Amino acid sequence: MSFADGTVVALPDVAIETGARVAVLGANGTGKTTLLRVLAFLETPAGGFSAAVPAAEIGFVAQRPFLLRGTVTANLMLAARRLPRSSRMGAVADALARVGASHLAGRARVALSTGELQRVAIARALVGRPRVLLLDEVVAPLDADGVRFLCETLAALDDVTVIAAAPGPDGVPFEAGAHVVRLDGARRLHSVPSRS
Amino acid sequence: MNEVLSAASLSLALSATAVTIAALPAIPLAARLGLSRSRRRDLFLVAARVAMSFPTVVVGLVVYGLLSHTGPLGGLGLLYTPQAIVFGEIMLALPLVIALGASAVGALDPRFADTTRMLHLGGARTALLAVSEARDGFVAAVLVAFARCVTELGVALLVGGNLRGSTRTLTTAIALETSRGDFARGLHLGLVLIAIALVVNAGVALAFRRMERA
Repeated sequence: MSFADGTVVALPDVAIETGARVAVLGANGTGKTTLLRVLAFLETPAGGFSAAVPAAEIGFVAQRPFLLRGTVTANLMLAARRLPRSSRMGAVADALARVGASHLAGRARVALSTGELQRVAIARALVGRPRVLLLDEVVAPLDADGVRFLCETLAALDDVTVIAAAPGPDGVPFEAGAHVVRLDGARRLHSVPSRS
Repeated sequence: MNEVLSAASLSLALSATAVTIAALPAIPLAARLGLSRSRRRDLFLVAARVAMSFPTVVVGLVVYGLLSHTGPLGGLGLLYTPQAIVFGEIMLALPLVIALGASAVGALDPRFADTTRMLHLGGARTALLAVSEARDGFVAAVLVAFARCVTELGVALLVGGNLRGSTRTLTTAIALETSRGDFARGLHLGLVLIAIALVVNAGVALAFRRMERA
């Protein structure tokens, strides 16, 4: 993939099965965030990009998430607006409970800590019931409880493909069995044997 | 004292009406322009910024040309009425609210655009959210437009006619008293105008401080 500013990320054609867990590892500046942003249709490479999953079915949690002005619930209701009206509040409450953030429902964004903001952003990505969930270095701001909630939540999402970017294996919220790909210093993607 | 109160209340009412009417199309347009990255948007903003700096007497002249008996809107009979002043002050307020509002939206956290795209929000809803995010900037834009309208002389004089009880604003009253040689009375009116401008600018400063803290 090449971009107008000359950035290039070399990728092979990749097939990822439904429900797979993929860890994208690489040092800072190797293109992890760029890769996830392309997969989330937030950036368009000059050479084009196509995916089997439409943008509306992809959830993305950025490294530094941003909440809109208003309460946590209002933010999640925006993400839930594609759901039937009668089920939106329930979906919001469920998503917050999954990440252990139910107590944050009425808070404004300025009243959230970094870790709390990250939990809410994950809940926001989940509430839209995505088929693919992209997580960009989401573990770092979370405390031990937050990481536990996240791992349990992801473990329960059998039919959701999860791709998580992290500097190293410790930053990946998966249990054993994940596919691992690495971005090297030349921004080339290499597939490595799965972790056991 | 009655005349001072009459001029002050008329000035405030006409300017508030003009800014309110101007804000209705200007705010959504400013939001769209602030979110856009097209070349046409750049041209539009340049035009708005140039219009911001038009002398009020030139705007008054243009409006006079429109509303005079031989002008295209002469049939409406608006010349030398309060409505004519409102019409002219709308012309003053529009480019201000558009240019300053668009700047406020353009200065939003870059993650705002990413977030609205991630949530697959349409253009209208994104613009509405942009106004909410940049609301302090829009408050400042409206207050600046109000300050410009309430302190302007050119439009009020040329199309209002300075008629006692109907189109005599604070600024035209100051011009009249000074031309009559009653400098003290003119100064008295000027102090009232300064007080209004101080209150409005305090509001602008507060809005900008809230913007910086957000």
